[in-house]
Formats: sequence, structure tokens, C-alpha cells
Amino acid sequence: MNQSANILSVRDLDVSLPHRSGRVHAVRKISFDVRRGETVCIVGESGCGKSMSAMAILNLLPRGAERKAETLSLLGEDLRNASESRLRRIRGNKIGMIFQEPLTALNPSLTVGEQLMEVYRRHRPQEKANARARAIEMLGQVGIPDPAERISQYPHQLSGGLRQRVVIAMAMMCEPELIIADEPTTALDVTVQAQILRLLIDLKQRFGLALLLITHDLAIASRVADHIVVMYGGQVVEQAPTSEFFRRPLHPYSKGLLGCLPTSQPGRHGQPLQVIPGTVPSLIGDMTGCTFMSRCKEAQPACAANIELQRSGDHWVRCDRATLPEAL
Amino acid sequence: MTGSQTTDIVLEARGVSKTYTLNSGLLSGKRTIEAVKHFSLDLKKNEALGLIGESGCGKSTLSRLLLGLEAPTEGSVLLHGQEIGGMSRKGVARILQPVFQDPYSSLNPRETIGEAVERPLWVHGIKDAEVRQKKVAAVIEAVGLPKRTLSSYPNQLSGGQRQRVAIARALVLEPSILICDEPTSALDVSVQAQILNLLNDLRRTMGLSLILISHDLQVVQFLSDRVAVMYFGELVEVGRTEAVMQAPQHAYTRRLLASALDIDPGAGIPALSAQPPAP
Repeated sequence: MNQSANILSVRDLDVSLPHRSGRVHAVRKISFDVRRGETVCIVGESGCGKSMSAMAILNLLPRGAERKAETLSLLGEDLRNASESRLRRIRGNKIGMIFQEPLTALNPSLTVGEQLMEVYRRHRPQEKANARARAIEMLGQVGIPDPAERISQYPHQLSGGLRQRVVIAMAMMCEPELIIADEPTTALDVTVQAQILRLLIDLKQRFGLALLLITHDLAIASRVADHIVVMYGGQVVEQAPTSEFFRRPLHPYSKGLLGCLPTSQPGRHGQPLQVIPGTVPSLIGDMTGCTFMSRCKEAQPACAANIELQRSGDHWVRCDRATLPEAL
Repeated sequence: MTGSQTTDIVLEARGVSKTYTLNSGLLSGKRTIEAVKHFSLDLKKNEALGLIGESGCGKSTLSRLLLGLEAPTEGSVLLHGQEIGGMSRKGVARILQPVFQDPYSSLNPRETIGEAVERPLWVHGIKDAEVRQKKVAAVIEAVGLPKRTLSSYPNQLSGGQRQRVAIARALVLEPSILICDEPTSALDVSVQAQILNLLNDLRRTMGLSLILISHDLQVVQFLSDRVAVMYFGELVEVGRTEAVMQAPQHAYTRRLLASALDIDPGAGIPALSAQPPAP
């Protein structure tokens, strides 16, 4: 693999958090790369560790959290021991962030313009004078009509869709190399969701960004991602190029997730949906073997032992039962 | 011949409107908001009717009107042909029960599941403890929960299990109609499938009529015989599910269908016109 093309490289990232009944091992040795111009989607259900992984990259973890990694590099720079002041220069500058709820990501007592300009003033002090022009330009870029007027409005004067556009404009202010978007459309209506997703893809292509998109929605992932990373129980259980993943999902959890979507069975009205029995495991303490074992139809006694990661080219799967295709 | 057509209808909204008056500020005076406008819709026996619309379209207001929790400004809601406003709360509750979106806030954290599910029977004056317990046990089994759940507290259950409890509590009085307001939108997809299957099963085994309110077209499509589309407080389209999905008539329905994404690797996101259609 060509390491130099990687914007972001993560190897064996591990995060644990304090909890009253022991430590929650939220992220368990996950590895993935994001290459230049690529969209990588981390998919999984609530509590699988997908948001915690994103926060760990930016070192925005809750107090008491512990982060370890073999590799954690952005554009070749090791982020593992980066100082807080160095990280502050990276966040919002080299990495743009977009969160789920635009109302909490924006400061209600500052105008849209002040918030956009603040990013610029902090990261580009020598170009302060241009901040306002740049803010108006970015609002236009994200498809906000009348940017010169909108710039003096407060977040509460905007609709949810417009607010999320402002958050995206904020993330784009300093021309970052990578955007991390954590469920950017979950709080929005479906018609607005489609528009925001199109905007993200459009910006990505226009500015040659890499995009790390965290979502619970497999349909979205299938349509926008180049590479899919499936997380379950704090682990990456499978990752593959998008077309390969949907043509041939290998992990029983991936197959189960795809099977229980109401969309995946057109014309099957009246017949029951496939289900994954049980619920997600607690991540407290250590676990050996497969985290999905208790819910897996294909589980065997051997699954309680350590499961090796199998790999063929870009397709990785954490299951001994799965048969990988021959490497291309 | 009174006709089976009319007796088949279990719940009906006839030209229902709901207007709220807001005191928006010291100087701006009063404003009115028409949340629901001249809405007519009927639910037939054993039917599952899906109601789709986006936030702010008035679907939750409509559900409160249908449940008799609020009185319409205009028009009437009829339950088995009787004006719902004129019926007692308990009378309505024996026929019509709600299931809400968030199973976390709809259960009392200090009450065991057994107590929560038994409470409606108490309220409705079923004095015999043995009868109550039998009914509770039966309904807990019907929603697929193990018996030991009865002694648990809500915080010991997962989201999917709590939603099952909410459904059990709605069913314990053996109503004939359930109004489910976004019953799966707080749940993960693997759990959503379990709840959708459960609602579908219960509908058959208990002969329920369902109104399913959701923003999720795929959920509605899976469960419903008919779909009604709501936009700016109005009913813009209603029809058999397959017909609406295959040949949507209203511009807004087409927009909704276009933005409901299914799995299609590499297909990208469809373009929508920048301006939503006029209601």
C-alpha cells in the first residue's frame, strides 16, 4: 500500500473510558486509512465505538479516557504525542469537523459571520482582513442564498438545513485536507438530508478533500463511500471497497445488518424482516474472541478464542468462518 | 342495508383543522398557526395506514387529535362512528392506544415493568389481582419478552426491549386500534427490524388496526396497506402503498420518494430541485 497517498492512517487505535463498574473499552485496536480524495464511511449501530474513534483521532475524548495507537498520522505527522497547542492548530485548519446536531455545534449568541471569521482569525492571523470576505465566499459555496445578509444572522434565525450548511462552511474555512463528519444528517429531514449529502460530495470533489463519514445508515454509505468500515462492539469487523462490500459482505454482522433493512426486500410486503437476535454487547472490561458471537447464527465454539483478522487485498474481515475471495 | 362500508371504518377524521394562537411578543401581537388544515382520512378495520411527512408538517398534532387528546378547531374525529370529544377518556383508551417514539421517556424509571404494564388494568377497575396478572403475563409474552422482565426496571432494558414494553402496555387493555408515532426512529436498524416484525405479527394475531406515523418511507412501506402523505398540515396524497410508491401523484410525494435512499453502491445522492414544491 502506498503510504504517502494516505491523508490519515490509523493502526491499532485503542480507547478506554472510566465507568463506575470498570473501564469501558470503547474502541479495540481498530485500523483504517483515508486516502487523498477518498470517502471512507465508518458504519455501525449506536455504541459500536464509531464516534469515539473519530474523537480519538482529534484527541477530543472525555476526561479520564485513555488512547493508545500503533500509528495515528495525519499527512505523515504523528498525532500520538502532539501537544494540545499543536492539535488546536490542526483542528479546524487541516481537519474540518461536522457534527450531528448543528444547533449545539453553533454558538447561539454569536452571529454566523462572527463564528466563521473566528476560525479564520485563529488559524490565519496574517490574513485577518480577509476573514469577512472569506466567510461570505464560503457561505455562498455551501449554497446559502444571500450570504452577505445571512452573515449577520444568528443561528436561531436559520432552519436546520441552513444551520448544517453553516457548520459545513465553518469546517471548510481554512481549506482542510480532511473533513470528519459524524452523522451530519441524522437530525435532518430526509429531503434536507439528500441536499446536505450532495453538498458534501460536491465540496469534496471541488476541493479534492478526503472525507471520513460516520453514519448508521448503510444506504447513505453505499451511495457516497469509496471504502466501508463496519464497526461492532468497538472493533472493525469488516472493511472493503464499497462495491466489493455490497457485492460480497463476509462478516455475519454485515450480512445481518444488510438483511434487516426494510429496503433490501422490495416486493416482500407482509413477510417478516430478517432480524439479528439480541442486542449490542456491553463494552465494559475485556473480551476475548468474537464480540458478535452471542448474536451470530454461524457461531461455533472456536469463536470464543481469539479471532484473527483475515485479509485479501483491501478486504479485511474479523471472522474465522468467512472465506475471503482470492486477492486480485 | 346500512352497508359494510361505513361499519368497516373504525376511526375517521372529517375535515379536521387545528389552529394554535401564539403570543409571539410584546409588540407583534397574536399570530395563528394552522397546524392541520381540513384533514379527512379514515382507518378501516384490520388496516395498517401509514402517515408520512417531515418535521413541522403537523403529523404529531394530527395524532393528538386522533387520540382525542386535543379538540380540533374545526371538523370532528369519529371513533367507531362516535364523536371522540364526547366520549370518556377511559372509553377511548379501551379502544385506542398510543405508542410513542421514545421508549426512554415514556416509562416511569421508578416503576417495575410489571407495575407499568399492570397500571392501565388498575385504572380501568379490574379488581381481581389474578386476572390482572394473567393479562400482564399474556401480553408480555405476546410482545416477545421473557417473564423475568416483569421485575426489571426500565434502566435495565435496552431500547428495543423498552419499546416492546411500551407496546405491551398499550395492548394490555386489548384495544382494537394502535396509533404508533415514530415507533422505531429511536432504535438501531437491527432492533428496528424486530419491532417492525412484532407490530406486523400483532396486527394479524390480535386483529389490530394501525396508524403508523413516520418520516421513514421504508418503514411505512413495510407495514402499511395504505399511505397518506402530509405536507404543511394538509393531506396531499393518499392511496394503496404500492400505487403511491410506484406512481406518486403529488410533487411533494415525488420529492420524498427521491430522497429516500436505498442501497445502491456508487449511485451518489439524487439531485432535488432547490425549492420545495408549493403545498
